[in-house]
Amino acid sequence: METGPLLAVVCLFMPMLSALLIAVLGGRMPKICDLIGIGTMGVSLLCAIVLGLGHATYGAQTWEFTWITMDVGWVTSEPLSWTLGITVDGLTTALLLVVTLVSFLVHLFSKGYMHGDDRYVDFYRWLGLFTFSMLGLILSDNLLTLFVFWEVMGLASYKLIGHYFFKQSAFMACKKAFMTTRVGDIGMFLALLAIYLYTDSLQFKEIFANLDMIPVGAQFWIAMGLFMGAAGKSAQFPLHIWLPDAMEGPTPVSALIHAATMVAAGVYLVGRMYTLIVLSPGALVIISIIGCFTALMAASIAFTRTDIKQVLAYSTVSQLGFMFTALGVGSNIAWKAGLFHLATHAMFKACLFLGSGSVIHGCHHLQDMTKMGGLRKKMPITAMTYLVACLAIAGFPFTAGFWSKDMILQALWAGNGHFDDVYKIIYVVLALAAAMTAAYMFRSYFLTFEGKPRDQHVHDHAHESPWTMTTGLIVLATMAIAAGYKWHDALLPNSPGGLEGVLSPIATFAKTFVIHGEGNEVAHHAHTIALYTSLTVAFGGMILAGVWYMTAFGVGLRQKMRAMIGPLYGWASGKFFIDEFVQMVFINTSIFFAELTSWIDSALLDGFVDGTGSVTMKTGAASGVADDAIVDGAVTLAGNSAWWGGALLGRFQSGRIRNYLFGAVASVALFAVVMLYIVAR
Amino acid sequence: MNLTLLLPEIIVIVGGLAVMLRDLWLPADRKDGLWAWALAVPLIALAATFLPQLDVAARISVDGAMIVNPEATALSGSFYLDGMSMLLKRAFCVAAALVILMSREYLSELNRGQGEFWSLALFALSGMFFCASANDFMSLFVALEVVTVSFFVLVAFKRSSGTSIEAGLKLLVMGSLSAALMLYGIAFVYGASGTVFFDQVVVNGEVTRTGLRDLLATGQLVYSTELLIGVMLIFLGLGFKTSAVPLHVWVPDVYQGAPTPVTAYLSVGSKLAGFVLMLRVLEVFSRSGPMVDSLTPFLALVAAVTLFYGNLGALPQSNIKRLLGYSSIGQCGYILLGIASAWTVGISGTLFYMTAYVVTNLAAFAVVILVSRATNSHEIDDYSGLGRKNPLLAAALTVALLSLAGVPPFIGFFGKFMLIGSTFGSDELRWLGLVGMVNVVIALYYYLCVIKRIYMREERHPAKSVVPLRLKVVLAISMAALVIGGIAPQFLADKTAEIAEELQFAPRPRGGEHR
Repeated sequence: METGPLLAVVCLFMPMLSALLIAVLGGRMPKICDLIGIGTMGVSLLCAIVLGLGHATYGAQTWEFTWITMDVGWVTSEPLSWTLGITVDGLTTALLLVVTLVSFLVHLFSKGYMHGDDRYVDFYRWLGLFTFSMLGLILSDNLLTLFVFWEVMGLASYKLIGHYFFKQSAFMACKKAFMTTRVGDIGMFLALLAIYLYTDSLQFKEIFANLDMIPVGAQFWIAMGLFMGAAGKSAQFPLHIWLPDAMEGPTPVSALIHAATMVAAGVYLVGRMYTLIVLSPGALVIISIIGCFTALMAASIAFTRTDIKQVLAYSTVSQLGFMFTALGVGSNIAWKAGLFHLATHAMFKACLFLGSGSVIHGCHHLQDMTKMGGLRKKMPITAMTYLVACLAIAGFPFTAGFWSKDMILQALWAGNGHFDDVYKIIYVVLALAAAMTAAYMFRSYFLTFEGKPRDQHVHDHAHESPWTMTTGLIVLATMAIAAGYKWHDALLPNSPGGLEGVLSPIATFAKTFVIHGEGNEVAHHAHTIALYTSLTVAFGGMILAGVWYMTAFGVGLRQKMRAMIGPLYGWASGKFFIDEFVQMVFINTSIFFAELTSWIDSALLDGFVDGTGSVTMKTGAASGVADDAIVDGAVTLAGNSAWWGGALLGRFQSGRIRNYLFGAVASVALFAVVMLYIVAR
Repeated sequence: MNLTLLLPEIIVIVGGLAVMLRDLWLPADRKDGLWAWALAVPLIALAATFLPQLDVAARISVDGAMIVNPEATALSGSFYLDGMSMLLKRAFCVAAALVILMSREYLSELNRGQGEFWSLALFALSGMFFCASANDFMSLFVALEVVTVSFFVLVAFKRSSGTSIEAGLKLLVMGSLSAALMLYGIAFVYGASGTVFFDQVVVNGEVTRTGLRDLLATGQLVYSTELLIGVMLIFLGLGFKTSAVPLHVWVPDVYQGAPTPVTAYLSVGSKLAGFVLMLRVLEVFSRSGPMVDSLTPFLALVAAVTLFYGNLGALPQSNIKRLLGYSSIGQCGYILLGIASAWTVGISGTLFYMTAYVVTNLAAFAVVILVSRATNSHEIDDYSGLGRKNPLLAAALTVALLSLAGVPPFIGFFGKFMLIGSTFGSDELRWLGLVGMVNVVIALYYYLCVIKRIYMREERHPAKSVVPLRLKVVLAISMAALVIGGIAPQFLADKTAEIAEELQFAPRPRGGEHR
């Protein structure tokens, strides 16, 4: 095994080791489970850093493990080989860095935040399993194991969101998260089946080599199926409804799952399968429209939230919308922009979530921003890091968010030559959403940290968090600025130096499909426009928030504007009633159908079975042998009455040996008769 | 006479006698140490199977035809050593060693008859060895009876318990019936062919007895209804050992009633002895095309009924030993899938599955022993909360049950895949593969029900199981085998494929197009 894949494998299995060790030792030594988690994640992080720094040397490598090769004789004349593998390329390396860094910091942060929790050990165990599945998903070189890890991650997130399962709301939230993402998985699974049917493989390299075997009509549906899976995991309209509810989980979990990892999985899937998805311009534009709509909708809802974590949740939904909007363009730069934003967003959003966790911890589990205010003096580190992350997400110049958002807008303006008018409209809407982002994020900052304390009691008891928690904040805040530079440079072709090696393979990969538009001129033009736009929206949004929430004049202005937009505010604060709609249309309908089928089952099928059964009983009295055959037959016919069938079989197991002997001899005779009949035929 | 070939058998028989004698001289308070003597025997026998002297080519080529190598036979041709018998003997040694490790605690509780128990277990092992090497119907019958008679006593070993006695009696009565059926079948075969030998016996270059393989190969013995009835009756008799329908009725009762270590031994040793003889008889008669054509639907029918019986019957069970009893009937159905398909891949899968089954089932029974020692119960409900009380034990049981259910990445998965896959090669047996798949789903349900109780229910018995070192060894070995066999199954799969080639079954399935 070469060094690159070896490092990746170590990186992958460390969290698994952590989960196993904690499962084994946790009961006896609950004190050290945090150290196990932090230590193993540290090793993982180191591996990822070495991989990143040495990417130029390691290059794009894959490593395959042949599980078994055997002659099966019926599939092909070739022996059937089962191979699993990992692939290490630019995209993988980049995401490994993001995931291990955030996961490591979250492990560290949780040591402080979850201190004294009853299910501390369980928490760390599931954290380890979660990270393992996310890393496995990124490293898979085929869709099959990717899908397996995808589902394992669903399970782990279910357990983590439902950490406080004794709270009804948390219990409902984890169920909702699991079920909603499962809806998306249906599409993904169908897409996987279709891909396998057409290309005879689920290995990425095989699929991409055999793309011409997929008919044009199917390309669209496969792309949509994959996007459906991605939309479920990455919370895109209308499957975004689980994410805000998932805030019921502990805050470090939100930072890990809802900022950097699980929600990124959908974006990663689209990014990984981009070579296939770009074949269908129709699918691309749909992805872009849904992403843009989600971005705007979630941003407007975020304005109306007073719970600090809810603001961040909707902000995440909105930012994921940005990524999909970019990916929906289908050009080289769009691909880079979407995944670049994924990486930068992971940094500043994890910082914001951990910052909110620090606030919540400092204010003794208070999440309502209307009761905060003026916390900056009490929690200076938290406030500073939160401010830096806010600047980044708002797109303040020279922060990470600025570069990536700028690139998204640039990609949109350049378009892909198919639906350029649509992309121009999307551009305008997304710029609006970006302005709103800046405004609502600074709203949350001002409400929490600036101004006068609105609840003196809370303010008096607030305190700064311990070093385990602030370390993560400082690192992530630094990354919220730094992440924009080296990566950005590396992503731009022709630019030298820095960590170019980390992401340059992406560039070569991205070049393999056609860049629409007229090359550099268009790109340059788009760049200038996008730059002005992103500067305008960032400063516009921030100034607006400043006026609204920091000046006396702002209060009246807010009321006036609220009156001006009329019912829109109410709709937004009601989350556009999407949850209610889903409840009414989908959940109630399914419950109705479930009850209907259950009625059919009990009234019709069971009646039929019971009838058959009682008739059989009477016939059976005549001959025990006939009983065996017919009851068995009827029971198997009923299908879902397998249990009943089992109980019936138990009746033959009377324990009386004379019955056994009779049964055995009779069935031997029966066998003989049946066999001789078959043979004589 | 080539007695070297019989070295493992000799070791086991002498060892059994030695343990019995040693028991006489040991004072009562030191009898607990006897297990180490007993354990040494299968281990030495296992080592002996690796001797180069035993590595004799099973077949040789004479005039372009592959025939049995006389050098690989002993006892006037009654004893035959080939790849299959070596593999099975090793599996039997491992099974016996693990069972002996499991039985020590049980026996010291019983505080009586340790010497008999160990020597009976070893005699049963010698019977299994002879089963693996049987090369005529008489030695087949005698070897099988050695196993069965040993088990009559072992099952009824707990004389103070009514259920144990009852189980022993049931086994005895049903065993006698099956022996009668089998002898009747052997009589039919003898009547039709005039011989009970599988191979011709050559003394001083002169053929003194004709053999079935040669008669069938040269066409001197042709297909006839008597012959078919005979072979079918033999299969039914062997089906008693393997717990195939219709002679399976004893299984749940005896599994429940017998002492748990004996149940474990019964579920792997006795069962595999039956299977290896089924394979041997099938191999002999596969020389005749019409014979295979008639046997296939029969075996397929038995397999399908056995699958449904075992898996449906397991659903409502509330006692773990009974559940494992029904599950063992179901597992027998899977192995029969491969036997019914009667071509290289199916036989390879059968051997793979048989080997995997030893460690899987023994692991499950080891946990059952440990849990019942703490809770004094075999109710599945008493496994509730095991995941919290004994996380490692719970994990071991979970892995064993998942492997039995055929969930990757454990070893059972590949076995099931090969067995079900082998039926898809033939158009006539494709339905049987579908039956197998349906049963995988049914079986998954009841295995998962146990796992659900382990992890998702509040505990009913606060008592934690104390795991003695011997059982730790059992669990460590079997878990390692389950996981390593699942991650790297290639070694075993290659081995079984090689053996299946050597057995000269049809290289392609009957009625199957080579696509």
